[in-house]
Amino acid sequence: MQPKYFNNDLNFPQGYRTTDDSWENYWRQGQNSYLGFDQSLPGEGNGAKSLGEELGNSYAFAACQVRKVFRTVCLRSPEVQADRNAVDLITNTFVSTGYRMKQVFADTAVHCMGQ
Amino acid sequence: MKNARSVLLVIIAGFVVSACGGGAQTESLPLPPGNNTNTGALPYAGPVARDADVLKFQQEFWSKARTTDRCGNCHNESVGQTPMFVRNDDVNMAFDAAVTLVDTTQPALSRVVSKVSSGHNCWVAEPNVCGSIMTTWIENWLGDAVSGGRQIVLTPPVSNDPGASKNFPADAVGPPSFAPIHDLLTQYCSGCHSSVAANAIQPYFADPEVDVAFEAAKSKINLDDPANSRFVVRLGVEFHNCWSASCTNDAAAMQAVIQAYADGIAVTTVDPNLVYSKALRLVDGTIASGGNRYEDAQVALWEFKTGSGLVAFDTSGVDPAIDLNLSGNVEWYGGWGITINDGKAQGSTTASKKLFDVLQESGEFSIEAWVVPGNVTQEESRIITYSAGTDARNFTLQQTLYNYDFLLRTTETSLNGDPQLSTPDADEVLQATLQHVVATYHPIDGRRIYVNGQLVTQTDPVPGGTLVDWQDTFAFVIGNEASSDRLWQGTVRLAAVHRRALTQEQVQQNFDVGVGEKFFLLFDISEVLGAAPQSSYILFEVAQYDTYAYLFDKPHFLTLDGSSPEGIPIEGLRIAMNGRESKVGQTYATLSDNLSASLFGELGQPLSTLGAVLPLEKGPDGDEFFLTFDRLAGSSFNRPADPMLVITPTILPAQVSSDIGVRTFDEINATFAKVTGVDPNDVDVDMTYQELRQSLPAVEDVNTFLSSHQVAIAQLAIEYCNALIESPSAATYFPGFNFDGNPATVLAPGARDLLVDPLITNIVGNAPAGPVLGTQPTYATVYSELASFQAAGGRPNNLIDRLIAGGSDTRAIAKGVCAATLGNGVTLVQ
Repeated sequence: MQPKYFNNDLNFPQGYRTTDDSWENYWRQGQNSYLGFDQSLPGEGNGAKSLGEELGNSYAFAACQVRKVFRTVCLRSPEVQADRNAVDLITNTFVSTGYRMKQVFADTAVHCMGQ
Repeated sequence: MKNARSVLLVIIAGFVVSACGGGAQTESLPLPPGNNTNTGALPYAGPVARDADVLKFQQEFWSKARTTDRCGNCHNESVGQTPMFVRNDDVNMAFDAAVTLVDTTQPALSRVVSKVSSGHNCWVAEPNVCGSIMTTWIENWLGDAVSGGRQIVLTPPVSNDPGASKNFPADAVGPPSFAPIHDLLTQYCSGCHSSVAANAIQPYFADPEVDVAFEAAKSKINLDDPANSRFVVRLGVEFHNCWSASCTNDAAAMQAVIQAYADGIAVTTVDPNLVYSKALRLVDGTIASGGNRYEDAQVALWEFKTGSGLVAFDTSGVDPAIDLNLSGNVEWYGGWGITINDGKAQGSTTASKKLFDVLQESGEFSIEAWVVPGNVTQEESRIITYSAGTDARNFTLQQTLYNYDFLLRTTETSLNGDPQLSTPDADEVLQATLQHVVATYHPIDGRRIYVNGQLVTQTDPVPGGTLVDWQDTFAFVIGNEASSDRLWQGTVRLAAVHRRALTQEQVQQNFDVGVGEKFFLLFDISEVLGAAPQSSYILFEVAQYDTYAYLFDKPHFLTLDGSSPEGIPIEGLRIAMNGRESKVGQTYATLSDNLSASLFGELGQPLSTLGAVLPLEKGPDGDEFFLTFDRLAGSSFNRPADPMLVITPTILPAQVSSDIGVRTFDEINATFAKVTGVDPNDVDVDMTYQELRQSLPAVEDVNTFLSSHQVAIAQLAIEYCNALIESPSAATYFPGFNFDGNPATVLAPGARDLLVDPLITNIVGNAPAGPVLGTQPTYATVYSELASFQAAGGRPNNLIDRLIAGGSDTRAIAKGVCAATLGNGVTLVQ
């Protein structure tokens, strides 16, 4: 462990003491499960790489990327129901076609075309 | 010759004595027996102590208790009150009587302690303080027998099933139904227990602010048994400031309003589906600590146990007691302590002289404290000081930002204790959290500061001196300077002064003991396991963490009947309070383990190293805890999962945001370069751009577009057009146009198209003929503005005609027309 993990470790000695780089995702259950984590992943692991995979493979991550593209291309947030439907559709395409951002830009541009 | 030899002997003797006093390691010697200054104790003339045990008893207990203002007033041979444990004629007989009155394993449970604690001839105002002092005497007497590796004796508690109980509504702060109680309190108690009273005394349950009053009153109201409410007992049994002639009537009136309030609250019952343990209150637990501190050289000790009143008692048992008077805004801290907001705790100079006498004699000392600094921004704030003002002190422990400073008057430092010794700046050892800090002084080692058991200071640069320059007229103060102008904000949970420089081991020992009252709570799970009654327990170390919370720590599984169960599954341990699971602090909810006797340590099988903080609801006497389990042995509770959060987005009936945005700074620059064909790295253009960069739009939202953005865009456009028209490529950009011709000729109607058409075609994107970009203005519109519109109805003429009329030359006019075409919405809007 890096020594910095134990700076001021006596401020609350009863607290959790980091022992290694393992992680476990408690948000797969309960109210935060709406983030849509990938059920094919184990939900626990070691290191930043596996944690990045866990986060990157969530539905919330994909939806967030699509919304960011929407704002960039359409110069506004999704507002009406048609916008939201388009975002959902593009998100699903994004996830199912291997996370290709070019396609997201193209699909979004088509949605906002002429506005 | 004989005289000469005598002189020589005197010189040698003097040398030996001075060598002893010169700073060699001194041995810790007990204070001589009977050294206290209380009056009424005759010199002892009886037989000497028969062994070391009796001698220790004589020094540490008998000599202090025998005075006529304490036990010596009755329990001796002259008065004849049995048991005669402080008799003056024979200390050995006194010892024999005393050993029958003390509990050698747990001194706090001794008969003599419980007697004085219950008010039996206590010699100070607060009976519990006499109990603490008496406990200290007994611990000092028993010495290592009690403090060295004392075994904790866990006895099965009398535990019950978790009962149904009433709880204060969680969301209610000063609910309307509290009003009748509040009315009664404000009518009769607001003379003192209100923040606006002339002589304001905490708690402020009669405060005019109903929310403040409600919070303070909660712990004084017993919803399950209104007659046992502190409010009622205080009036009816303790006769505290009854307002009428009959305290009984007043108590009845109070009980009636509390009863009415309690009747309006529904009973919380335990969910029968839960798998749960037996229930306990904090006070039902076994006291976990208190006797293991190193206190052999302690001369003053403040534990702040009383929790109310205006005096913090010195319970070291060393006379005279330096009782501290609380003044200003000083609050009692739940779980022992005082919080200094804007005030101080000060002892009298007479009592403080104890430190002068004892420490000057020992030549070394230690100041020990458990503190919670209120912030890390205060400077020169006195935590503990024995001084007269800002420029005269014997010693001071103070805070400066992230540092502890130790100032001490010796023969080698100034009268103000300078230069001070500080903890290293960069280490930031002082944090606004509970810390154990010890400042020691020894003539050889100099000053040292230990924080949380670790020595944090470098070697004291000042050589060791003596304390002969100390003054006995100073006052001992906590939380401020004696002159009240160096306030320290924070909480002191314990303070002590020792007449020896504590060693690293002794500091560590006191740090390990901790502060405050800790209990071992044994939650009985025998029934769930199907084991013998009162055999299997989950052990928690529980303490009141602060005024608002409990700390549950270090859960263990253990058996008390010697049985050794193996492989019992346990999952999802939760802590419940007053009939329901606590909503917060469920550290062990994800616990999954097997209970196995093979893993038993000193306290059983450790289940977790983590602690949990739970909110305090009714106070340590009232809150009833139990544990629940998702799975324990063969029983399990099918806990419904928290429902997934459903976020309903706000769907607007129609689009409200603009479809268009503006280009940002780099986009504008790139656009200008592209449509004019000018290299953006051209020196003049680039310089202008770098100057204007921060004045150009930074975000695409059209609502953020400002007039200053337009000014910058116009300046940049002029620079680009200047570069375009002055460059050789102008000839290809404007084919056939003569920039050096007479304006009237080259810009005559028709001829001016050679200038205007390339601009509109390249910048707007719409040529005189051909496909039209629908999102851009049409060619005709722009052309009209630049070159053909004739004044009508007050609107000025087209741009070129106006510029010609102004007398400018062709180049200037061309640049103006170019800039007007470039620096507008045509290039800005996207």
